[in-house]
Amino acid sequence: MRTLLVNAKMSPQLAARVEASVRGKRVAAKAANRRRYVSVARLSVLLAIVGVSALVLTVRHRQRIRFAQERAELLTQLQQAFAGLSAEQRGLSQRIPAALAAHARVEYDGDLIADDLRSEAGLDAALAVSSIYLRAPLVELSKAANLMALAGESSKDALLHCLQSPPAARSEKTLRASVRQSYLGEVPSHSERLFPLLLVAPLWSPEWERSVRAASSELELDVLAKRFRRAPVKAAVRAAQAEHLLLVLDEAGDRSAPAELDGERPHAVRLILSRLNDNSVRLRLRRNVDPTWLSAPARAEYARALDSCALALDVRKAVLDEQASQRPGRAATSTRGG
Amino acid sequence: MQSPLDLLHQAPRRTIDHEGTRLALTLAFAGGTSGGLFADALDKAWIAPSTFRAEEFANELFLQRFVAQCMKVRIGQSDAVLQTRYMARLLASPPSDLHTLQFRRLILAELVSQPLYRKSIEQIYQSLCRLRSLLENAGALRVFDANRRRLDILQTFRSIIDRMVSDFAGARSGLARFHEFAANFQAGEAYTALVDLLKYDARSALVNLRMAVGADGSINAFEIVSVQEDSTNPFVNSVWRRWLSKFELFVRGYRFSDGEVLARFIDSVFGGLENELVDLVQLMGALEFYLGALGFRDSAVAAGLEVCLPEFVQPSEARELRRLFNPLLLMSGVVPIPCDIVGGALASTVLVTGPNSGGKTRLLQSLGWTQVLAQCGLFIPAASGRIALASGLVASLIEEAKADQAEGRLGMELMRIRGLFERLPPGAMVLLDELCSGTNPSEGEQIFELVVSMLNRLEPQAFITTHFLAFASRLAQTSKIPGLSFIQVELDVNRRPTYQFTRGVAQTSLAGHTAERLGVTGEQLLGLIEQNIRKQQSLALAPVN
Repeated sequence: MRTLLVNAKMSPQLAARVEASVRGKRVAAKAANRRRYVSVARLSVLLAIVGVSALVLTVRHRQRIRFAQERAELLTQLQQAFAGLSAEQRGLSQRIPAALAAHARVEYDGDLIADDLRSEAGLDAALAVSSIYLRAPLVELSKAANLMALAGESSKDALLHCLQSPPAARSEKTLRASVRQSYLGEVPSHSERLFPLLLVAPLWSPEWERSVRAASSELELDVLAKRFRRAPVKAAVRAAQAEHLLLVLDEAGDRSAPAELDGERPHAVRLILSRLNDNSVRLRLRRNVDPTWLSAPARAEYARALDSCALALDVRKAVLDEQASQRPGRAATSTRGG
Repeated sequence: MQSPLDLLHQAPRRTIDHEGTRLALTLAFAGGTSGGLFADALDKAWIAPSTFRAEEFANELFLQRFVAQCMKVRIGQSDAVLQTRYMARLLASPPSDLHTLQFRRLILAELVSQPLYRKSIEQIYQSLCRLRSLLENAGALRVFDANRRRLDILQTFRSIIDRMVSDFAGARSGLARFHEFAANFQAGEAYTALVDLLKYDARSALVNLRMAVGADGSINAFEIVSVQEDSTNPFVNSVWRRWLSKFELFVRGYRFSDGEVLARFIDSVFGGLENELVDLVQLMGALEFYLGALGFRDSAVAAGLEVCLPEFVQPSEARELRRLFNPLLLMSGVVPIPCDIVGGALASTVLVTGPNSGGKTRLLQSLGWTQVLAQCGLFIPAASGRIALASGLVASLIEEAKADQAEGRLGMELMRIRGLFERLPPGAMVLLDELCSGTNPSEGEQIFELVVSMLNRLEPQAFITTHFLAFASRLAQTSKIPGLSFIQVELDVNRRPTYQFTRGVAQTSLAGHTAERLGVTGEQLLGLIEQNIRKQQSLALAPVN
């Protein structure tokens, strides 16, 4: 490569001498060799710097591309996960607290069975519709306390299982079998817990999507992605698409009465089935539960579950009794237990 | 490669080792040496073939001292430091080639007739001294700006070239080679590159400034009005190209600086004038030769004496030297008394007789130096001269006793005679002082007559001094030996030497006069003896403390 010191204004002879001088052809071989070694060393350093810089730029570029891809992928997943939700369904999590507050008043408004529920078939049909299930202490829910915590503690318990798959008899043995099934989740349920809805609802808000689009670092995006991946999206989507709210409220009961190991003591339980779209009540019953009828061994382990399963049978019985009376639209004024 | 700049020989030639000197100059230019570059080159310089042999006469004529003290180059108020070894070699080998001899005489003649030429070569010589100092880093001072030093070298070189062209355009002698050499170089691209580089260094850019000065003299505003670069200069590049050049040099192992770019340019320009610079090294020796001769002339003139370029005659013609003086006496601070010598033709032997301290030996020295200087093409120590060329010079003027000599005085004298005949070529000049003086006169005379008669066969120009006065008188009367002539020291009315010479044989050596002059009479010696005795007696009687 010709040296840059030579230009077109130089005579050919001068240009040749400048070239020779730059190439070290005019000095002793020892000096020229030393300069050659220095040149090689410097060139190596420069190439190393350029190489490392290029590598860093390439890596960063790829990181940026990967980042963009991951963000796009997350947004796509978001959109796909919540594509089936209407705006009303997306807003359910906002309306739920008010609906729960309406049902969780301390005063009980009396039993109510809708006309179309006054048969076992009607009850089964109503229970077969997707619903959000919540069981919580009446006192806690009425205080509008931490709904998320209450929803987190509420599970698809034996009451729900026995409601949707009623045991054949009210015997302890039969109830225990149903309870065991409920623990194992062997019977599919049409109800979803409220907790997934409350947990996942922020993820389908516009703000969350904006936060994904605005994520500026891989760490930030990773946090958002992990939250999405860990969220019970499907359960939340099903909950958002639910038509009914199945609310079970445990009243305080007699605190002087002894409690079982799982905390179960004789108390009243309210069961409310309402429509989510207009909050109309389709079923409202209040019944007492008392674990004292259970055998000691069963009481020690499954007092609450067996009581819940028994309660489910009581609810069915109440509906059947109503059916037998064939008095449509009339509220059941008698309450059991209490 | 152009014809070399040679001022010493009719046919120009490179007398120094061209490649070796060029390499040494390149290294010196790059980094400076500790000295000796010029001296080393000239010490090994080729000397024109000569029939003279330095060992035959150099010591006898004190050649080294003559060069050091008679051929001084004084420019302005100071004496130059000369390459005396080279000058001594030149004087010890007068060229056989008559064209070269004449070539040198014509240059000297023109330098004398054209004082401006002398002034010019003195200035060229001064520039060469500065060039040598810069190249050899005389003083071994640490150079803080290597580029500045190299540019100074190039500037000095250019000034030499320019002076050669401008000052010697009308020269007729060998001095015209200055103009020819420099003009050829100026016509080449190397000179153009040199001028461009020096212009680039002196005036890389012209910056027009405007300053506002307040009442207190402080600068209140400063503005650059314009910047003009000489874009036609091949060494001027654009800003971005300059930066890229620096970067390129850095990658190639050089320093990242404007100085390194300039260094490459300087090196490339130097590469175009290396050969010419080698010629300047050779030129330095030649200039010292001529300036030394002019310095000798100046010394003689200052002492009221005259020098000249002699006329060369045929061997058959008579020689003549008017107002001949001894240059060795001149360098000793003594103003010599000139004399006239009119000798016979070549192939003649002259016997010189006279009292001791009459100037006989000094005459032989003068004749020897006359022959050497004449045949070197330089001024002779005489107002005018007609001399014949000699094939060599054999001088035997000093006979010092050696601690390990195997023979006595006669034996040594005979060995001296033997040595003379062993090395004496035909047609040479022979200078013998007090031949056969160390033995019985009657036997010595026989040997003397033998030597003189044998010498005649070699047709020499021989000058022999002797104290064998009776023998010389007999030879003069009998004319036994052809070509033998006689001169004697002239005495004044008080029988004291006048340091002139006349024909004939001296009647006395005036030993008594010499003895009286030096305090060696009977009466004077007796006085010295009595004085010593009295002194001894007074020492013996003195009390011992």
